[in-house]
Amino acid sequence: MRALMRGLLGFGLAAISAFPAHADVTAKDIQVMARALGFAEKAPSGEIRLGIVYAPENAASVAQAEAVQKLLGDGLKAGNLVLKPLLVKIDEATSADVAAFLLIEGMGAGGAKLAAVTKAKQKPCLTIDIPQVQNGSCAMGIKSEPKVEILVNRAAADASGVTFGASFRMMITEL
Amino acid sequence: MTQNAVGRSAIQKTLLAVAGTAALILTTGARAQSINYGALEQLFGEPVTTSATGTPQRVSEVPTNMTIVTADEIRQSGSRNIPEIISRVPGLDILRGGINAFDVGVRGYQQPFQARLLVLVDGRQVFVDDYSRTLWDNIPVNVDDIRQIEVVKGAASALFGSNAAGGVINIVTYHPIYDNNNVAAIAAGTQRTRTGDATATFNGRWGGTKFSVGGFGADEFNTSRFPLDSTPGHPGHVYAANRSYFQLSPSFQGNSEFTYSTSESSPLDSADYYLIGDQTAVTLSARVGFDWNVGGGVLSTNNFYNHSVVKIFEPTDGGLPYRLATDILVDQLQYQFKAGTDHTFRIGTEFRYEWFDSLTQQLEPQSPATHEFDYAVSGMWAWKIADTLTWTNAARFDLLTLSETGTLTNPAFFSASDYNNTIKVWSGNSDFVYKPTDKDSFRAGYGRGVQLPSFLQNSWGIIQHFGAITADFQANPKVRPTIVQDYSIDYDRHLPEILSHVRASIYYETNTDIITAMAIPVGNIVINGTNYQVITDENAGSSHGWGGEVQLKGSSPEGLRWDASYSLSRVVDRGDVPALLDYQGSAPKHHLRLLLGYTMGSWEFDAKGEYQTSTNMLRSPDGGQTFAPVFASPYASLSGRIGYNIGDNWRVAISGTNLTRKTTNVSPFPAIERQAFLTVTGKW
Repeated sequence: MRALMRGLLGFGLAAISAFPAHADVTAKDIQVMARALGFAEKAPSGEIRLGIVYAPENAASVAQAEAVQKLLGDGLKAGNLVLKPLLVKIDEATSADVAAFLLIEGMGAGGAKLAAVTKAKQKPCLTIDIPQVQNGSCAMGIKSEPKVEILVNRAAADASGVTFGASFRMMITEL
Repeated sequence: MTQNAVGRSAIQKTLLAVAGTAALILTTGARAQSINYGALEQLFGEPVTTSATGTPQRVSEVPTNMTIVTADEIRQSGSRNIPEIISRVPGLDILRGGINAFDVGVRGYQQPFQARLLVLVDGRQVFVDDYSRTLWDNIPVNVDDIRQIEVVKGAASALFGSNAAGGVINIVTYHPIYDNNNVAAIAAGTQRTRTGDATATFNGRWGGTKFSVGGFGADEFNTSRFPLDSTPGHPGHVYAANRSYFQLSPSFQGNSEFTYSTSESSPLDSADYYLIGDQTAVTLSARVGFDWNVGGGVLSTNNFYNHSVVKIFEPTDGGLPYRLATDILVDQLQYQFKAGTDHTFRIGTEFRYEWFDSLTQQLEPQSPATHEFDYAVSGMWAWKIADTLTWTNAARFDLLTLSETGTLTNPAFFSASDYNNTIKVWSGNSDFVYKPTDKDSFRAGYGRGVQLPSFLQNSWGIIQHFGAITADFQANPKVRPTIVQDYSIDYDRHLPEILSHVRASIYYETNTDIITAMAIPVGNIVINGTNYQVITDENAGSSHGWGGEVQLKGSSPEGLRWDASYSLSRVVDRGDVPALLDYQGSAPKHHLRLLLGYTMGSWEFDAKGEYQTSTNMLRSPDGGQTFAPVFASPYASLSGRIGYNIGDNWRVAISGTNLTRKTTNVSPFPAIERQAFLTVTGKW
């Protein structure tokens, strides 16, 4: 039934995705991530360290991570949080002392490494790289333009100890 | 983990096979909270509501035609009464009998004592079932404490119960836990208008509580009335309210509410050939409830008691005012949960117990009293078929039993046992929302709504003079509910190029078994040697309506805002409806609105221009001996507000309505006067 309905809608469903393939992390993205995290059951508050996870051998990944670090500066207030950045190489994520991870785009297979880390450390993973949410490497993906969309991979979220209330779950897209 | 995954899979299959079957998914609980509208609005960048399906949704995704009037828009309107505030919404029409007497109609079906529009404050009905209407000036709310007003157009009985046949208005106030709203305002102006309102909020780890008090007084408009219309001595209102939330555990939040309000106004009495009465009303309410995160969902109860005593005096009543007491006890229980990733359910039960006493002095000894029990079950299922397509269905079944427990005269035209009655009725909604792109959204929907007879229409008796008639008014115990069916299509398009959003809507609706006022002579009866004409009500026929709205709304970063709309409504009545109710001309066929605003530093400038075409309604100039349509010509009006912020805490504003003329005939009822007032507001 579901396959039939999708077919009837034609190429429009296949062609149009709510989540774009590539974009740079913006200040609004950070705000959305922080506010969404505030609806988690064990939501952090106050000043927290956000680990910006990147692949050091990938120049684009390094550039994007540094751009996000610059965006956060000495601490960016977002919702109930003040986010202080910490650059984290993917292979060093295990030892990173952070409250949450922000997964930079272009990590490829590195996303699965981070999934193991978030499961072990019971810390949330946030990203704008939606394929990493779809493949279960990261719990939450967001898009802030043209309208806010939040995608949560329930298995990845459960594995990393991130749970949301029923009311919030009714307002987001879950996998 | 494995067991839970298997369990969920089995439950998902069951639910998919038998849609609407309730099932509990046992997962860990999470913090229980009523909806934190402010935080969700900040997250999603748009207002959030529960009024469309009972579950929280972004307003851009609701499966119904909903408009939200925000707190900013309330402030920018400059108005301190709710009907004027919501007059900006295309598809709504405001009827006015005096300075503080209003009725609100939806999509062409306008009448005094509007029975088709259900009005709620934070989910509690403020709709009164004596005549089935809303006492707008009696609502115990500070306009500065309103977060948003949600307007749903179309039948919504499946979600809200009977009398949401034409639409729903839910007034959502600030939450004492999440919103530290402390505000006080005073205003003074023309017609000796003086108002004062204040809200104080206290919160902590235990929860939050807020207290609101306020009052309004003014002189009635000094415009021409029929000789037998009343003029209230002291138009105005006073109210007090307390709302509290208690975070008893991370997963359990209780709430309570107590309100009191009293008002005097000049309503248009739909039971008496639209004469204008002098009405005083006192209402009390008490409410308790809770929200409990359990089983992966939210279990909520809403239990309230409303008591109202209304006295209406009209010169035709021979010096004997009506005094009507209506009490209602409502217990609502609902469970909402998400099954898997694509299905959201809400199941609910409702028990209502209403009793109605006529405290009116009568020409013959009788004291009718009626009791009504309503047992209802309802369900809602939202299915996210694909990323861009959602299908939402809701249904409700009501079983009502009525019984006459008071005493009627002997003989009586209808006996007490005739009023022992059972009504079974169902209502439903089915809506598709299709969003092919980030900028476009289509909605197509069907709604079946129910308008129950009021107490005066199916359960009451009064014997009194009415003009030249000595009448025995006895409601028709066999009158049937009105059934409304509507079909609608909406299209929304985001236009970033011009920083705007456009919405276009079309609808068609049918109304069967429309109920008249008590105006049908059916015979005579002799009681204690006196001959009385017996007057009752009936199902007068049917009516259908069609029309639509188009609205362009936007704002710029430089502080400019605009909202332009056009609405069309056409109504065709059948049977005896044209002669007895005449909806056809009750609302303007064409209605144009243009709102413009500009914020410059500490200054705010706002203006609203309106044009509407002619209207007509039945009125009786001679106390019920004759009645005929009375017309109001097309008119244009202008309202405006200039506000100035003084520091972070203070604001002063000057506002005015109907600025272009000293008096304006906005309806077939007495003209309204130009108004202006100065408001000073403090916020901490």
